[in-house]
Amino acid sequence: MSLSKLKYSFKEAKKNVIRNGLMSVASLFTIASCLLILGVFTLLSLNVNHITQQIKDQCEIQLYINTEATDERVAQIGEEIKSVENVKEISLFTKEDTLAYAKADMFDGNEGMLEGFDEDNPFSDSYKIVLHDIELTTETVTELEKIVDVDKVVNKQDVVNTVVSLSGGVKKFTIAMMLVLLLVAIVIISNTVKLTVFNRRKEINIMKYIGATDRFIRIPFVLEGLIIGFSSAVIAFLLVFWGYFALVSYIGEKLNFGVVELIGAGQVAPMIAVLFVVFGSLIGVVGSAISMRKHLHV
Amino acid sequence: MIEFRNVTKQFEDAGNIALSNASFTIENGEFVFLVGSSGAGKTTITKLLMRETNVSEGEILLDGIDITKLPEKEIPFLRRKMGVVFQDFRLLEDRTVYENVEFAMRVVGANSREIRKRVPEVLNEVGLNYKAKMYPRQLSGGEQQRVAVARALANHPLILLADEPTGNLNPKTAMEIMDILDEINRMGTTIIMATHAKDIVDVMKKRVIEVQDGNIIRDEVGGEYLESIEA
Repeated sequence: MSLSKLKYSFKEAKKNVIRNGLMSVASLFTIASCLLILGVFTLLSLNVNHITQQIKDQCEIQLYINTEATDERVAQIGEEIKSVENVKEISLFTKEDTLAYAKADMFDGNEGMLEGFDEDNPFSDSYKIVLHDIELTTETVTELEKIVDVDKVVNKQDVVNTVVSLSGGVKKFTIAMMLVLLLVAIVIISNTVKLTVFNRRKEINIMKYIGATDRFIRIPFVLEGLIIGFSSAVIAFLLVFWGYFALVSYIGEKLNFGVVELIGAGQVAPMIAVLFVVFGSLIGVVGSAISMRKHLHV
Repeated sequence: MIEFRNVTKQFEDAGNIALSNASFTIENGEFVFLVGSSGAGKTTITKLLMRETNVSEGEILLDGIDITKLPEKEIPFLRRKMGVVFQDFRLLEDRTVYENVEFAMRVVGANSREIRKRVPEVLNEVGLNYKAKMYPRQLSGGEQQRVAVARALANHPLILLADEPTGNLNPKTAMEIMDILDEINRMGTTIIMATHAKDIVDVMKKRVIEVQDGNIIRDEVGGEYLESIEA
């Protein structure tokens, strides 16, 4: 298509948007609302993933060694642990460290209760283990338990399972919502274009008589959908970005637990912008194309 | 040259035969009136020429090419060889006179320079240059039809199809339109005009093809509009 034709088609599309003012505005806000909901769920999903990752990173396995094991054996066990697949890093926590920790944190002010422990330390040496993939915790624990002189392996599998399943659920729900909203938005824009085609049937008829190709007739309508879809994307993006920025700031200032944090607004902005523009434009173009296919029979 | 060879058109929904075994030839540059009572088959002929509908049987040759066999995607290009004028003008109400003519040129892919040159030229031919910025509702019926003629001429058509172009006009304005069409014809454009206007047919003394119940019953150069034709 020549530049001149494209420019003309764009001019026509803009005119159509203005001519169908109320309908265009209604479509624009409905699609923006769909994108807004989509954005909220996408941010929710992204943050659940982000938080899951943070929880995963904080989830460690504690491996306790029999009290009879010698220091050499403890070091050897360390090497054996490292050789287990899925083990990312380990750190030794000796029984002396444990006692010191108990004195400092757990029995602070009641050190008397730990009297005599220095001479006969009842604690065991242990390794703190960080895994590559937390979803393989059960398998890794089984492997670790096979190591000789290992007393017990403690992990937070329940927490991990809950977080992983929650994250999976949110992902699935978000995808389902995306599909539903996409469908709703396509139906809306398709309806708008259907009305436009109906309102402009005389013009289309004249175009056909004059010798316009179907493509020439369709393009302004498709561009009309594109303009509405794109404008909806811009509006929805501004609202979502503003809302999310306010939320992140609020949580940062007032609800900072220091345990988990949300993804920064600046970090998600490009992704949301691309998602909205792609979805908005796609909705506009597909909706118009469907409508044109069904109603352009003059 | 247009050649109808044993053309029959039967509309499936209505079941009646709109045109039956019609054969005639129209040379380039001819002016032909299609006359006959309402529903006789005049409009069917123009519709077949534009491939708005297709034949049930027979062939229609345009410069040797059988247009009945044209694939759908070629139809717009066939129509670009023709200009069309309707009884009800069919102008776009929300566009100015200039824009209505420009629109026809945009449709066929003319560029802005060609449009800037051709639109005033063609508006001048129909005597409406000074009303280029007006909207159709601000014009009289005759002026609106002149805009329609200008639009039909914008793309230099080989053939101009006019379906009752004077049907909504008073006799004086109708004759003004006919003068324009006659002038266009003198410049080489073939004109095929379906009409009920006896006074016009009689005055113009052009070739007359009379259709009755789908049959060509008369084809006469310099013919008249016979009293026997019902309106």
